[in-house]
Amino acid sequence: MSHTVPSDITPQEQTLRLVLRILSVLFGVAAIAYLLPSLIPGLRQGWMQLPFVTNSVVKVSVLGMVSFVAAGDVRRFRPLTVVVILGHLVSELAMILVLLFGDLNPPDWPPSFLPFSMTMTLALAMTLDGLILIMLTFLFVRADRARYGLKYLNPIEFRALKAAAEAIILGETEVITPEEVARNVDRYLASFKARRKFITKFALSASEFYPLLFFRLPLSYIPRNERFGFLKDHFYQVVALRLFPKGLRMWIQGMIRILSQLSYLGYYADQRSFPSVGYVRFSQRSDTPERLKQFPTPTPRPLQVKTVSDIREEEIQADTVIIGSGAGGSILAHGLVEAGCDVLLLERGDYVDPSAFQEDEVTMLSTLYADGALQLSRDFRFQVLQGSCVGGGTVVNNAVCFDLPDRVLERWNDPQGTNAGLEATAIRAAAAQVRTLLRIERQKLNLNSSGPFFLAGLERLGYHQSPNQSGPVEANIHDCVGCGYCNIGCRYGRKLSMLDEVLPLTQALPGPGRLQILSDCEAMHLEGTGQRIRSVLCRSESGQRLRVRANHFIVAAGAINSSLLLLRSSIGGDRVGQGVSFNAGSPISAVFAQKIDAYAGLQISHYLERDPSRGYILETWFNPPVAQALAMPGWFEDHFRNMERYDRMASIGVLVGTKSTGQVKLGGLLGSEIVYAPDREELGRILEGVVLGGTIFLEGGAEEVLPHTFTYRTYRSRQELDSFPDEIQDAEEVALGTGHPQGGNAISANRAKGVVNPDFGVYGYKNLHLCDASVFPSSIGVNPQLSIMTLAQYAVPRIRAAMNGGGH
Amino acid sequence: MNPVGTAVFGAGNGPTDYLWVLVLYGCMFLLIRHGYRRLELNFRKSFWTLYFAITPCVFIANYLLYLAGVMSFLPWLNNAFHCFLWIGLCLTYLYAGIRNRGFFEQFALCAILSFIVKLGEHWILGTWELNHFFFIPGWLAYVVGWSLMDGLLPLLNKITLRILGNVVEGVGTVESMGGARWVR
Repeated sequence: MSHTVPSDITPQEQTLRLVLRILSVLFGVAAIAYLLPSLIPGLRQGWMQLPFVTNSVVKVSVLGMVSFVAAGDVRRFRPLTVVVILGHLVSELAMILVLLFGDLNPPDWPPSFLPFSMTMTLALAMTLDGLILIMLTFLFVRADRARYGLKYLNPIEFRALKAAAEAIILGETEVITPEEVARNVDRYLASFKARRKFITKFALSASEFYPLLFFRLPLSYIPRNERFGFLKDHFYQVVALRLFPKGLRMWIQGMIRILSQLSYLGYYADQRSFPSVGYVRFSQRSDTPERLKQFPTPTPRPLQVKTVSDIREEEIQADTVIIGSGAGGSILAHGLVEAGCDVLLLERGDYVDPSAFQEDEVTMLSTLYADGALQLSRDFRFQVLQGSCVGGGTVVNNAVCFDLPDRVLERWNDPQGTNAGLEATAIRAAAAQVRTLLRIERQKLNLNSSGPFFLAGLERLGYHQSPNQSGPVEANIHDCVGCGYCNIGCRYGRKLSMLDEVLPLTQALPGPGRLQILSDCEAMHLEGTGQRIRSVLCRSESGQRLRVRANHFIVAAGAINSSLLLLRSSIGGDRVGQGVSFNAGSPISAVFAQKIDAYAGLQISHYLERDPSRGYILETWFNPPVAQALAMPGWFEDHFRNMERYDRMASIGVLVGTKSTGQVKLGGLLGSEIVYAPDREELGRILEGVVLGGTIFLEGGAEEVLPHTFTYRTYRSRQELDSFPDEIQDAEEVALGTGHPQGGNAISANRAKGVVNPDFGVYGYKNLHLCDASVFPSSIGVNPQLSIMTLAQYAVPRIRAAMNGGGH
Repeated sequence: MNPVGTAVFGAGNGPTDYLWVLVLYGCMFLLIRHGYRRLELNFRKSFWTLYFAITPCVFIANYLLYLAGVMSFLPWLNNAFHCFLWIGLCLTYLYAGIRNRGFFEQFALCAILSFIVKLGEHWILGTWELNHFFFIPGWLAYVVGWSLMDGLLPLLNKITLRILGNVVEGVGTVESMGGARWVR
């Protein structure tokens, strides 16, 4: 990113300067007016005896002088304009207090020569000061916005971020100024719409004024050399040493997390930082032409997608509506169209043609992810990533495929438990069909270069042998060119996602059935009478509403959004959104002596699943710089130093299937929230997995390993690493995230236990079905996309039968 | 207060007293809603059907029963509040949440909550004041007796829905999605 900084002052700043000059003159005139009675005997009666005249003279004189100096250079003396504004604010507050509580008619008060009562005089003064206050604040904010060219942040937030970035990005070889970092972030935040963005604004404003609690100036006014110390003492240490109560600590942790993540995003998304971290974009790598020549990019299949703005009517009619175009929705659409149905697929996100995918992470994060990847759990500690585009999560996931584990299916079907009522044989047959459709295969080309170290470590530890399962992952990726952009959309057509493969295939199917796709169409409410759903009310990002009437409705919007849609529509009772589980992930990174360029290959390429299962799996994992910086352990100079070793690093993700203790709820600050915190047992499994991952890398030749914890830790030997779990007090310490939310609308043959019956019909409704990860009764503990697609394939004939009058 | 005012508000009652009655209903509704958070989409039409079918009947019946001498006079505003807000909205909402539970459970819940509300109205407005319930003497018998009658409301609702379900589309005794949560 490159940006032009206006060198001369902007017209808005010129206006501010002019107004400050006028004010300085007016204040001067006012000071003289206050003093005139002492000079002109005829005016002495009244004025001279007012006790506050000298105070007023001081006030207007000071404000006049300050305005005069501020007008001299509105940029250099910017804080003086703030002083003038604050002076008026204090004056207003003081007058309000006097009006409310003061004695406005004391008996010994001399009569004024003014034709007003004291109350009226105060009211007029308040009005005058109020007008100056409003005008000056408006002009000041406008001038600041113009100066920095702000598109989303206000000047306070911008300056807070700039100040924080100056301290957070801390190294001797910085190549991007803090102001450029803040400006990059402003552009990123302006580039997408999301309800959660205001949290960012709130956190930045709160960070700016947080130092006032300690009788310090606002963050951006703290001298540069002291700001680092303040951030370290009052943000980092407060959380690390648990100096404040838990509730307050959560907010402080949220603030420092948002400050640091925005700073990293603004810094490492800028391509000028790439050489310093040793990153080379795929288009500029030396072997790229050869790779692309060896495996030419396949001709993209055409996909017809409309948006809500293409529809002129306020209401349209369809036969079958599927809400959500991810793994579940697209497979359902394919199966139903193949069976002769007319399907309208609704997708909240945009349609982005794969040829428009870019190497710029920030652009793609804002385009392809729900809430621009800003989705966090209620306590700000747990990041929940979800794709939001035509093709859903399959466009941005790693395409890793694991079959639904037998032990999980048995647990789901346990009559004493959830009693899901799924037919195991039919499930296996459906999985085989999906495998064929998506050409799922074990990966062998352009794997992540951390793989050999991982495999070497496994071999030394003896985990490479049966019954443990390890090696390259299976994925719906064909002829991978190793760009390393799985999570920001594969523009080379190698990932056979719903967008690249299934949806185009479905639209091309011959026969009576057909598929139409409507993007930028968020389903807000399902509407109906009695047991029949009549329509779904949708809304585009710009607020345009569309009502879609249909005979059959299938919800497949993912674990979070399906639950929210049912909750908003008052469907499914109190069980909706309950029992949510995750594959909680916590990474551990390793530093090697030599350059390994782990970014230049398949993002997730190898895995280890121990047998008997320990309740977690390990997957090698690496990212382009922004995503890696967001996950990189360490603060301040430690983080910067680690990013300088980016090309010598590798990571392992530990995936732990959590218990079904999470919730998706309506309400809260954001209108909806995800509530989850791992318990001791889950934390124990996460820590065990992290230790094993670190041990594998140490055995594989790593110099040191870095678990992703709030307090920065490094380990250089197995003995040191073994003590890691003892150092962790609770889950607050560990960085957690997930791209795999599951559950919330459990499938069960027992109506008292589930939201959805074994034929995927929502209990209590004749023409409403639900099929996505939200029907999982518990976490499956492995990457869930193949299981979601399998259930969708399995659901097709059952839903079809219900549509034809069978049903539940 | 003139006779019309007395008939509407009840002797010695004013708007403030009725505000307290609303507060009582509000508290009771919060209690009811605690166990059943939102009205299920598939029951909404049935809910409003019950509301418009039953509450006007109860409103009229209360007056007729007063004329028959088996109920005390309910001032018109008290009667309207009791029928259209308490029975119509709160007790029907309660029914929506408990409709697939056992008969005695439904009966007990409706009767107990109704008893509390009657006591509240008696205390605030001085109404529900009669010294017998049919042939059983005593004020307590009167209040308890009519509360037990209110306990039969779920049965009345069920019968109404059965009948109207045959003629009005989307109305019926759909099984509730409420009940114990399967995961805590």
